[in-house]
Amino acid sequence: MGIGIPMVQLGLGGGGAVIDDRFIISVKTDNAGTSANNQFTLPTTGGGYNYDIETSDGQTITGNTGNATITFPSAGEYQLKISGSFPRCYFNSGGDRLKLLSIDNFGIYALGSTNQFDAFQDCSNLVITASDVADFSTVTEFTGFVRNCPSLTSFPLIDTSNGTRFAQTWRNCSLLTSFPALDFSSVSGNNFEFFRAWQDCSSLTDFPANMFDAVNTPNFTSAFQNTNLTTQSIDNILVSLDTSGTINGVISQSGGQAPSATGLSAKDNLVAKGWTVTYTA
Amino acid sequence: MSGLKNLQNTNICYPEQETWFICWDDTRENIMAYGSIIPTQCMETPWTQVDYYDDEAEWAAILLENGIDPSPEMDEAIKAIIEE
Repeated sequence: MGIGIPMVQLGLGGGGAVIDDRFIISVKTDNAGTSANNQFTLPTTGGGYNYDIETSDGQTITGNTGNATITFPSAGEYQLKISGSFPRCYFNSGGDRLKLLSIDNFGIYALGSTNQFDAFQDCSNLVITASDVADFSTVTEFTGFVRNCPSLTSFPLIDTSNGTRFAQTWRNCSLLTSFPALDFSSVSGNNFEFFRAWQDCSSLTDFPANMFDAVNTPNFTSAFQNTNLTTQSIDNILVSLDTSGTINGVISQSGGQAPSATGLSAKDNLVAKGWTVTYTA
Repeated sequence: MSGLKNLQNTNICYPEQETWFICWDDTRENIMAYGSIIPTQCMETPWTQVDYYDDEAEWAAILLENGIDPSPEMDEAIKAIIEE
């Protein structure tokens, strides 16, 4: 396939922002994994891949359609710049998950993908430094996407407008302190939609308002267990669920602060609509 | 939903130890909610048929008998849905 022109210069007179459309990650090859200590295996699943890799030590590996194992001259930290079609990583709690240090740019990652199930599950050392606007607009399945990524300190504002399930998506991201105002408007049904979604995000204090106004799912089982939500945040959650009009739901929060009178009023409304609510008191 | 207005809510707070619960509908044929309550929590539900358990295993067994896997991960259940 060959490496195309990955950099796009915006603005006039060459002074604009530079956008890189490559998926860029950093790895540390001698962390524990299934490849040798001077290697890294980029894990894939299913079809839709046709990608090239440029590495920070000057290698170019073209025409990859499945997993790619890169061998470096010595153990150490390297950056991989991936272009072409790369719909999804699939560490799925195995492989070289501990070698992945950071996502530095989303670029082409997930373009056209519908499924991000367990993509970065158990990538314990992963942080996201990418500042580009990732395009997840075709993704419907986010279950387990960054589950058990306890080094993540922030999660980016990505396009989740077509996402229909977020079961365990951020579970045990224990260093997350706040959460972006993602779009959950496509979530409906009763098949684990928000099951344990933020459970064990034990540092999570700030959660935006209006997040669930447009959802139609009753399944928030253990969604906010062992979090550290502020009163304002749990109020935001209860008020938004009340606004959604969904009936017969289940939601649980433990840790953090108790709701205020505003949150308790929303809780009363929810119970009147058939919800079972477990909350910090 | 109109029938719920006539039900008296069940509300328990601050159990001395973690307590597991199962909420049934009035027929006791359908489980409407389940979970646990710790000493810093309250639980409120419109369902009046609520069973409490000190023993998590006993609670889990009842759920399993009724087709609900309460195991912490439930990965296989979710994966089966995704791969349908």
